[in-house]
Amino acid sequence: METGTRAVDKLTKLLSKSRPEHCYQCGKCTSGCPAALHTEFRPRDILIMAQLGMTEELLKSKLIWMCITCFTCLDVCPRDVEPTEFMITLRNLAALRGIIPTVYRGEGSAILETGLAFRIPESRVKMRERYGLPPLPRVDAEPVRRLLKSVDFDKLIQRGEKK
Amino acid sequence: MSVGSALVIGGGIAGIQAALDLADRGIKVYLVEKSPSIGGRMAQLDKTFPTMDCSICILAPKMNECARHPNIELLTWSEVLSVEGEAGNFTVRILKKPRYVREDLCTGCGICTEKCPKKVPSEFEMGLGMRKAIYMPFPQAVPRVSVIDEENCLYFQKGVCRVCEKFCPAGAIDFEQKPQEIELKVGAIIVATGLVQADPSIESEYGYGRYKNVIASLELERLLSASGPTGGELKRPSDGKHPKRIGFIQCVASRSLKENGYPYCSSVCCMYATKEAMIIMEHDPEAEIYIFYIDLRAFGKGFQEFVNRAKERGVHYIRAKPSKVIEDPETKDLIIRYEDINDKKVKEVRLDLVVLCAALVPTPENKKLAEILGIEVDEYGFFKPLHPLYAPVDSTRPGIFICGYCQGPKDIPESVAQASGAAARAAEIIAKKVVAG
Ligand SMILES: Cc1cc2nc3c(=O)[nH]c(=O)nc-3n(C[C@H](O)[C@H](O)[C@H](O)COP(=O)(O)OP(=O)(O)OC[C@H]3O[C@@H](n4cnc5c(N)ncnc54)[C@H](O)[C@@H]3O)c2cc1C
Repeated sequence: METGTRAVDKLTKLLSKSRPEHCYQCGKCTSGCPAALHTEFRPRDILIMAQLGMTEELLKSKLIWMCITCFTCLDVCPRDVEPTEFMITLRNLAALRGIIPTVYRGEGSAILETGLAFRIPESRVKMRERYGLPPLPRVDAEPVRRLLKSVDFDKLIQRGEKK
Repeated sequence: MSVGSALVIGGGIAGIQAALDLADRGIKVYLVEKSPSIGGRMAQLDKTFPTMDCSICILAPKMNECARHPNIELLTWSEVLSVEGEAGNFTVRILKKPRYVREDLCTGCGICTEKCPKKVPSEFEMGLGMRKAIYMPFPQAVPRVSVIDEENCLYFQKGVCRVCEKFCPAGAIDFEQKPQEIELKVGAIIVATGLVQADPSIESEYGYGRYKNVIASLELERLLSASGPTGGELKRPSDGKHPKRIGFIQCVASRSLKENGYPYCSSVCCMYATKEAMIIMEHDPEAEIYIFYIDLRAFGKGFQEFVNRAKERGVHYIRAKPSKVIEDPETKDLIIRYEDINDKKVKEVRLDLVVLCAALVPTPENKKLAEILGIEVDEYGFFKPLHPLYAPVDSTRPGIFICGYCQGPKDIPESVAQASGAAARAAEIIAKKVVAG
């Protein structure tokens, strides 16, 4: 994985491939968005910020992390904009800059450690035993870890971390 | 030929105006219309923006003038087969389809229609009403001559019936009629083939074709019209109830960059939706109307004032394109979900009826017609003007002119203005020919 300035250049170019400038602010993406029903995430808002050149603000905003990448916005957009792709690219750019919300850092390190994004708490394992439920399937984290390390994922998720 | 003659293709308001202008100048006009009657879309409309004239009331006199004008020969139920020659001297072959009713004998009394046992959905009523297999498409049709629809006529399909023939007091029914080819010499040609509505189910999230109470705007025109299938009483399709809460969704498949959409603005929908809203409120002052729009395009003379009037009346204009229409399976009511851009809230509104204002597109047969005529169409099938600014009604071939919606999106006044322009340009060619001998 490239993580240097070349990667930043590439991703910045990718942003325009999602065609945010085509958006005419009809809000069809937002009213179709499952995340918008429960959060203040508004794909339409993100796109107008992009049109206004507010990329810097977007990279620092927690909003871009609320997209659940379901691609519904892409389906309904009459202007052929790709809001989901746009959000993913923004997140990658933000990550390169070390702007990663704590929960995602947590998920990243959980994957490295356990192979799963969700760390199963010890208490839950015990509870299953108590109720006589079968143990949860085991995951071999090693191949996942090897793969992620080979692309410097371990370093990426530590970027900008406040110690 | 003393003063030369002209061919007009398409008998909508643009073709009618062009034909009358030329005929009044003393030029012989052949007006070719593919359907059984002239009139075009305007005949289907209830009222017209921004003046709220009764559409057929102002159109019918012009249609009749065409029929009565000594210089106009109507060739309805006809199409153009070929065109040869050049500006000032074209040879045109026309196919006149058999009506199976003699135009010289039929009085338009309608007894045949009354007696005909076979019912089919009416094209003129956008499938909301029925017609017979022998019919006149609408009461003010011109010419006032019935036509037999072969594909649905019991005699043609099963060899039985001939009831119309038995009852026709004029003896006008003629099952032996054959397609007829006519050759014409004309100096100039005017094309005015108008528009059709794009399939509103292109944006399938709005449920057209799946939900009974989601209808298209031309269907609404027929439901509002006093001569329509409900006698002008607005009833919703699922249960015949009077809808109280009605929503319009603008730009369905238009201003769209999707592969199956149309990127241009259809130009008349903001205004006709406003008009339809006003008509509904005239019928029922308590009706609640929501117009979902992206940009409100009220650019013409008197248009903004018209929209302002609608707002004063209480029509709700909501700047949003809804993401979906959901049907309540029990009541068949509809729920529209949209983002209110003012407060950024995702909202829902429950409605009795939803009207889709779908893209208006040129007639699909234009491509074939363009080949016959040797003129160019653009990627959507609109005829290309020679120059968009200086020669908007000249086609790409000398002697052939274009006007009305087939040249580009426009309303009735603009269609009429272009038609007069095209008639003037056509007359130039014909006059030159006369002077030059
Ligand atoms: C729902 C709705 C409401 C509207 N309301 C208004 C309004 O209130 N006010 C307003 O100004 N405008 C209104 N319009 C727009 C208006 O209908 C058009 O501007 C107008 O009809 C254009 O006229 P035309 O003669 O170019 O085309 P048309 O009216 O479409 O007529 C074209 C004619 O050509 C015939 N034809 C087509 N192809 C051929 C062929 N190959 N050979 C022979 N004949 C052919 C057709 O059968 C038809 O009779 C409305 C449109 C819609 C859809």
